[in-house]
This record gives sequence, structure tokens and C-alpha cells, in this order.
Amino acid sequence: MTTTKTQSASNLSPAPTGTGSRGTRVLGGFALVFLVIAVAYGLFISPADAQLGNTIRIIYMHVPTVMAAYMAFIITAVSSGMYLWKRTEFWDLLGSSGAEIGVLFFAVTIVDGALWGKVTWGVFWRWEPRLTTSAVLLIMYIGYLAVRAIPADPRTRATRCAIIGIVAIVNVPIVHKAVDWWRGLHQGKTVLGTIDPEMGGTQLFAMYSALIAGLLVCVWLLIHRFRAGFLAERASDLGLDQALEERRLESSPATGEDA
Amino acid sequence: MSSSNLTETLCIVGAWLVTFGAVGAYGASVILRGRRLSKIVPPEQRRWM
Repeated sequence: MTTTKTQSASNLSPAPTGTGSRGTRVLGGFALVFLVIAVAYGLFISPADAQLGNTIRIIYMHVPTVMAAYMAFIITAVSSGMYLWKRTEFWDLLGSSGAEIGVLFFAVTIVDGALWGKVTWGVFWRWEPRLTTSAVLLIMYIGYLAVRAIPADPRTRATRCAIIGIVAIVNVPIVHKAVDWWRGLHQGKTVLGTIDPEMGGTQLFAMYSALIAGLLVCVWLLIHRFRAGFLAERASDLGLDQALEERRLESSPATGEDA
Repeated sequence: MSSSNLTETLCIVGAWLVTFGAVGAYGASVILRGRRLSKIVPPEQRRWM
């Protein structure tokens, strides 16, 4: 028995020294390849658009970041629902990881959009329907992260966040359909709601390369963020165990004296 | 270069820098946080596969 245990222990590969694994390295490699293609085509090879001119190069960043943000918010909503059903740490961590990454990508989307607006409209911001609903969406998910930062029992915190994660997703289709429902400055919905059907050749290639790169980076970040969150929970448990042990040792001599 | 062309170039470069800068900085912070926490958590609790 001892020999078998020793053999199985020696067969285990060394524990990773971070959140990386073979899978994340492969995924990161693919993301990097698509990023290089996106930079080459988006900034240098693809021509200026007939209508948008060179500002189409901002759209090559604007569209992938918003799609990545939507994907992250959908993951948060699904995870939130699963948490309320299963009540496991996995779904709570996945939901919070998705919310954090979604906020990052959506904030970048808004900044990129503002820069595009400065060139096209002459101003960074207008309180028109798409932009206003986008601002509300961002604030809702910042609220999710704020609630998560409030000190509370982990189960209570997870339940509160799961409810917000489900409520907040309702705003995503509202943002997406805002250009159809209300008249505003933002350009209308196109292919998949984002990509211009008149786009072709190298422009389309640049757009899809950037889109694939954005989604791969989003998944790569999500895995790393999930694992970092998992490690933070384990470190927190260890801290709690250590505090309980110290408390037990403090009380032991007193008990001995009493006896 | 005219003023409008300069604004356009600055906005295009700015958009790409903001995107790569923000996502890159966040990615680096998550990786570093994971490495820091890995030193605290025992090996048997940090096996991903």
C-alpha cells in the first residue's frame, strides 16, 4: 500500500505556480495570433471605408469589445441562475468573474465609442438612446461589483450578486435594440446587430479577426480570473483556519490552569 | 496635417491604445494576483486539471 501511494504521489506533476495551465497557454497563443492579424489588417492593410473613412479603424476595436462584454454579461446571468439553483462556489465565482471582465470590456467600448463620436459627431458624448442605455448598463454592473465588495457572509453575498446578475442582463437587449426602438444619433443595427453588411474584402477580414481575438482574450481572461478568485477563497479559508487555531491555542493554557 | 485629420489620427491611435492598455493591464494584474496567491495556497488545492 505504501509503495502504491508513493508511486501515485510521484506521478503527480508539480502544482502550477499561478493561474496558468496548458489549456490557457494554447488559448492565449491563438488569441495572440488573431491579435497580430487584427493589428496588421485593422491599422495598416485594410483600406479606409467609403462612408466612415479612417474612423472604421476605431470600429475594429469597438465591435469586438462590446461583443466580449455581452458574452461576459450572459455568462454572469447564466451563472447567477445556476448559483440560485445549485448553491455552489463554482457558479458564484464564474458569475463574479464574468461581471468584472464584462465591466472592463464595456468601459473600453464606451471610451472607444466616445473617441469615434468625437471624430464623427464632433462631441465625445450625447445623451441619445444607445449611449444612455449603455451608461445605465455599465452602472448596473459596477453596482454588482460594489455589492460584491461589501463585507458579508459568502452565501448572502453570492445570493445578492446572483439576483443582480439576473436583473442586469435585461438591460443588454434594451441597449442592443435601442437603435431600433428610439431615434438617435448612433448608427442602426446591421449584420448580427454590429457588422456592416456592405463591408467586404480586407475590411471584413480585419473585423472578424479582431472579433475572434476579442472573444478569445475574453475567455482567456475569464479562466484566469476564475482561478485567481478560487485561490483567493482558499487563501481566505486558510486565514480563517489559522485564526481559529490561534484562538484555540490562546484558550488552552487557561483551561489547563483551571483544571 | 489639418486639425480635423490630427484629431482623427489621435482618436484612432487613442482607441487602440485604450483597448490594448486597459485589457493588458487588467490581464497582468490577474496573472500577478494568481501568482501571489499561489504562494499561500497549498499545492493540492491549486491543481486546475
